[in-house]
Amino acid sequence: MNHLPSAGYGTLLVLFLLIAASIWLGTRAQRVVKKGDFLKGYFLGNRGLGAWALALTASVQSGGTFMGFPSLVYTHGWIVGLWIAGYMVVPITTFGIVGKRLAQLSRRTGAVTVPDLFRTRFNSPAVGLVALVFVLIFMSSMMIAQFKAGALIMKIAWPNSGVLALSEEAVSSQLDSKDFEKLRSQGVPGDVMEAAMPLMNQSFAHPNELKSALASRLSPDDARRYQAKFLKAAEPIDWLYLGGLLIFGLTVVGYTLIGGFLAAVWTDLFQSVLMLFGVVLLLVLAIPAAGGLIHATQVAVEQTGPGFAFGPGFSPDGRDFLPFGLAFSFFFVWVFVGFGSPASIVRVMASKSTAQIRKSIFLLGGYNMLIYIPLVLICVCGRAIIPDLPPGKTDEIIPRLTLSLTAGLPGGSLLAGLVLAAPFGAVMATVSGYLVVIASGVVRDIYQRFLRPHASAYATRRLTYIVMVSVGLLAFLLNIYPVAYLQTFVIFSGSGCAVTFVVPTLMAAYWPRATSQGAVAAMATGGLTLIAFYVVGIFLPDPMIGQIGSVRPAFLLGLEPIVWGLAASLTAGIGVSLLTPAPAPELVERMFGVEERPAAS
Amino acid sequence: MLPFAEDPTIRAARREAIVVGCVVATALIYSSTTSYLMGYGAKDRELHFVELGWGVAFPDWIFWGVIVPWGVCFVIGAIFAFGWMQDAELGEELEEEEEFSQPASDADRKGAE
Repeated sequence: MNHLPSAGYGTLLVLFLLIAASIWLGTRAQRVVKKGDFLKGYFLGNRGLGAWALALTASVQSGGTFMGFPSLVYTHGWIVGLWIAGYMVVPITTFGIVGKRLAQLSRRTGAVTVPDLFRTRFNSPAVGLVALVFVLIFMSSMMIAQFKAGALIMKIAWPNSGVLALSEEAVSSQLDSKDFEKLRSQGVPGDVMEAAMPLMNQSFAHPNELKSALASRLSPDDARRYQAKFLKAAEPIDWLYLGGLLIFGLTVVGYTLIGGFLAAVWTDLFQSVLMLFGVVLLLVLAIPAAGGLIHATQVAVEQTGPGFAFGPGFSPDGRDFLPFGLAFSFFFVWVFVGFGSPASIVRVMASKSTAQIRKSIFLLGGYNMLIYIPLVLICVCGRAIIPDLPPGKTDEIIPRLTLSLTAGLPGGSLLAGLVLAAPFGAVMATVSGYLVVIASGVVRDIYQRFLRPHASAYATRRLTYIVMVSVGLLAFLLNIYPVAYLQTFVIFSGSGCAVTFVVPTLMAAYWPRATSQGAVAAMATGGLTLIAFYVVGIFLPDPMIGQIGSVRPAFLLGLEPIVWGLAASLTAGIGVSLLTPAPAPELVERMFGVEERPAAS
Repeated sequence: MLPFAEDPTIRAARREAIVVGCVVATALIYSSTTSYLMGYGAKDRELHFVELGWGVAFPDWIFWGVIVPWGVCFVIGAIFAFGWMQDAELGEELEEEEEFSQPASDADRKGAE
C-alpha cells in the first residue's frame, strides 16, 4: 500500500467553511420560507426554481457520484464508461418527457409532495398512501447509505491524524469469537471458518498480515472470495469515522431543519459548482501524474488484466462486471432513475416556468459531460497512481488521490479541501433533499391528510422538525456499522423509485383513461417486483456478474431488475386501468381540459 | 376522443415526450451495440486508443460507443431545448384546500412578531 499523506488543517478548514456556508444558506432560505404559506415554502420553495437550480440539483448526483462510482472505475476499468453512458440522455428525459406537464399538474392540483400529486390527480387517498410507503422505503435506504459517505470524508479530512493509517495500518486487526459469529451469519461456509479458526484472537499489525495468514490457511478460491469479509470483521472501532458521522449528521439535519427545501436546493447548487471545480482540478492533476491515459491504462492492465480496458470489465474475483444484458439494463437505470426519483419530481414541480425547464436541459447536458467522463479518466489514472487499494477500501480512491496529488503543491491542503468539499457537499445535498421529501411525506401525506387536517402552522412546523431529527438519528445509529459498497444502495434506491413512480407519473401526465386502481397497481407491482428480485438474490448463488457485494439482486436473463420492474409496472398499470371503470369525467376535464381563468376585471 | 377541448400544453408536451423517447431508444441501441461489437472479448482484441492530445485518450470502443454519442446527445438536447420545445403557461396555483387551512396559533403569532 502506498503511504499517502494525511490531510492538513487547510482541508478541515475548507470542510468547516462549507458547513458554515450551508448553515448560512439555510438561514437565508428560512427568510424566503417565512414570506408565504409554511408548507409550500418549506417543502416546495414557493415554486420559484430557476434554470441553474433545476439543472444542477434535480438529477441524481450524490455521494455515489464521488465515492461509489469512482470505486467502480478503479475496480473494473473502462467498462464503467459504458455503465454510466445512460447519463447522456438524462437531461432530456428528466425534463423533456414529463417536466412541463408535471409543473403544470402540480399547480392544477396544488400538490406539495409526490404522493400529494398522485392523490389529487387520481382523486384517491389510497394512491397517495401507496406512493408514500414506497417513498419512505426507497428514499430512506438511500439516505442512510449516504451518511456513510459523509462520515468517511470527514474522517479522511481530519488533519495530521494518520487517518489512512488508522483505518488500515496503525491499529491492529483482530478476529474474536463475535467476529466469527458475524462471519457465519454473513454466509461464510463452515469449512472456511474452520480453516480460519486458528487465527482467532491473534493480533495483526497490518491488514496485509491478516491477508497473508488467510492466504496460507484457505484455498486460493476461498481466500479470494471471503478475504474482504474477514478483513472487514477484523477492523477495530473507528472513532474518527464515528466523529465524522456525528458532525455530518448534525450539520445536514441542522441546516435542512432551518431552511427546508430551499436550503437543500441552494446547498445542492453550491456543491454542484464545487464538484465541477473539484473534478476539473483533479483531472488536470491526475493525467500528467499518471503519464497520460494510454500509459495509465497500460499500467492498470499490467496490474489487473486485459479486462480493465475491455468489456465486460475486470473483476478481482473473476466475475463479468457488465455483460451485454447489464450494459443494456443500465441505460434504463440512469434514464429512469433521473425522472423517477421523488426528489427530482418535486424539483420539477417547483420550477418557475417552462423557459427555466428548457434552459436546464442544456445546462444539465453540459454539466453531466463535464462530471462523468472526466471522473472515468481520473479513476483510470488513479489505478496507476495508487495501484493497491484492497476490496472494501476502493470507495476511498477520490479522497486518497486528492491528498496524494495535492501534497506537493503550494496551498495543497486547501486545494485538497476544496476537492474533498465537493463530495461532502454532494452527500449533504442528497441527504438534505431526501430529508425534506421524507419529512414532507410524513407531515403532509399522513399527519395533515389523515390525522389533523386543521393542524396549525405551528403544529405542522413542530412535527416537521421532530421527523427530521428522528430520521437523522436513525440514520446515525444505522451507520455505526455501515453498509459496504455504497453504489449498490444507490442503485437499489434509484431503481426502486424508478419502477415505482415512472409508469404512474406517465399515466398521470398523459393518459386520461388511467384510473386510481391502475396507478396503485403500477406502483405496487413495480416496487414489489424490484424488492422481490433483491430478496430472491440473497438466496441465489452469486451469478458472478454485476458488482461485487453482499447485496445483489437476481438477474433474470442477465438483466437488471429495473427492466422487469418497469415492464411489470407498465403491464399492471395499463391492464388494471382498462379493467376498472373509467375515472369521473369531471376529474379528467379538470386535469386535461383547458383551464378556465377568471375574466380580467 | 375526449368530450372536451384538451389543453394544448398537454398536446405539445406529449409530442415532445415522443421525440425524447425516440432519441433515447436510438442512443441506447447505438451505444450498447457499438460498444459490444467493438469492445467486448479482450482475448481476441488488440487495444487501440483514440488520442485527443494533452494525455487524454480513450480506448477506441469507448470513444465511438460512449463519448461520440454523448456529444451528439448534448447537441440534440440543445436543439430540442432551444429549437423544438415550446414554452407554455403553467397555469394558476390552486388555492390551498379549505381542509388544510392553518389557523395561526399563539406560537405562530409570536413567531411572526
